Amino acid sequence: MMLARCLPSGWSAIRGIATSSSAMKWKIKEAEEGDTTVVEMEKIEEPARPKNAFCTLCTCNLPIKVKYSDVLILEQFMRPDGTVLPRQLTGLCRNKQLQIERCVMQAHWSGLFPDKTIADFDRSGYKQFNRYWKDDMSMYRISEKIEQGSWYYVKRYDTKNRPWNKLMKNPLNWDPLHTHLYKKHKRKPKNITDK
Amino acid sequence: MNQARQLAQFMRQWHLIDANQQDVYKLGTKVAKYLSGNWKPIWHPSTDCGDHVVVINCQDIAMEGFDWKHRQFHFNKEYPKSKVNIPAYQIHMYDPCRIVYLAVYKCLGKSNIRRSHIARLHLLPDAEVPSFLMKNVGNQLEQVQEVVKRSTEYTDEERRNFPRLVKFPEDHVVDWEAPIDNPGRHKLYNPYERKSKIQQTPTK
Ligand SMILES: [Zn+2]
Repeated sequence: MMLARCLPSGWSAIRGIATSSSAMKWKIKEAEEGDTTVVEMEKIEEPARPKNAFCTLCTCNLPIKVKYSDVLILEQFMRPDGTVLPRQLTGLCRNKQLQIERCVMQAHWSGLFPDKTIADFDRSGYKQFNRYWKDDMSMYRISEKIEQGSWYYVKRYDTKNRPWNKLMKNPLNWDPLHTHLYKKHKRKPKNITDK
Repeated sequence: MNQARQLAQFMRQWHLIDANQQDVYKLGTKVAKYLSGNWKPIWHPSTDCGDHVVVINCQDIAMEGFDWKHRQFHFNKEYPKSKVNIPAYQIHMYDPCRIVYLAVYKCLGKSNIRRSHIARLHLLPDAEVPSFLMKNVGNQLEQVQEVVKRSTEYTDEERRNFPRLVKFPEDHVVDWEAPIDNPGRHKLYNPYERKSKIQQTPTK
């Protein structure tokens, strides 16, 4: 009974939105009146994409190729949790969508979205240091480089290689497991060289 | 002014460079050029005209892609079982100035005078420069790479003035943009999986 009554009205609602010519965005609004929940669609003023539009990145004549460092461009295509919106919503062509996805992943690896990551994003080992990317296909060109190491080294000044310093500096590395490291050594180390 | 600059080339100048988010080897070539005095028109291998270079923020240097893991330093003591390849990030974790030192040492070329050149290199792990170094510094060198800004470092006004590239379709619902649950890794259908499970169960 319920289904039979719900379906036709639901279909008409969907068709109504699809055929509406006004440039609008919609938002689902839920309100409780007594023991019934009323679900409504609410209009939001924002210019929409025309129906026959092509991919925005190809048509907007960008003077540059989108890179991992173009944070303000990339975050338009992202959800608040750091994932990329699907192609049905972004309206990009297949190549540009993949390019944006690669750039977003590189930006995450470089730690450019500290407010838009998941809590358990892996930043251990080599991932804790700064890295850059030449272009969006850079991560597929992998090779091992062997350098000649040398023991010749002059250590002139205190290099301050204390683990708790590194942890305090980059908030992405903050971890309750490591608090004992920087709690133990609260005192500021004396600068011996500066007299 | 020009004459002062010309006269300064005959002295030991002090340069300062910020290594924050700079590629190690690009920075190394630049620093090596100033350490050996190669940038001066009076330069000759026998002229001892090298400058001092102070490199700050050594712990924030960058490498391309996965190079922190894939760039390995080969140490060989020529004893049995003493050959070892150490990835760059392990050296950097142990001493934040050592990678810059190794890179500059390589970029100075293979000559006997490079040890006297690299003696004028001053590496500092962070932005704190001791006053007895700072009083000598007379020039700041340009960085070799752009410093990338994080999304939190942009102001709201910059964000508002930035052109909007994404235009959603007419029937777009804002709630579709909400984060979705992690669907997990896609698993290929394996027709033999069930079969093997049945085989594993004891039939006797
Ligand atoms: Zn396109």
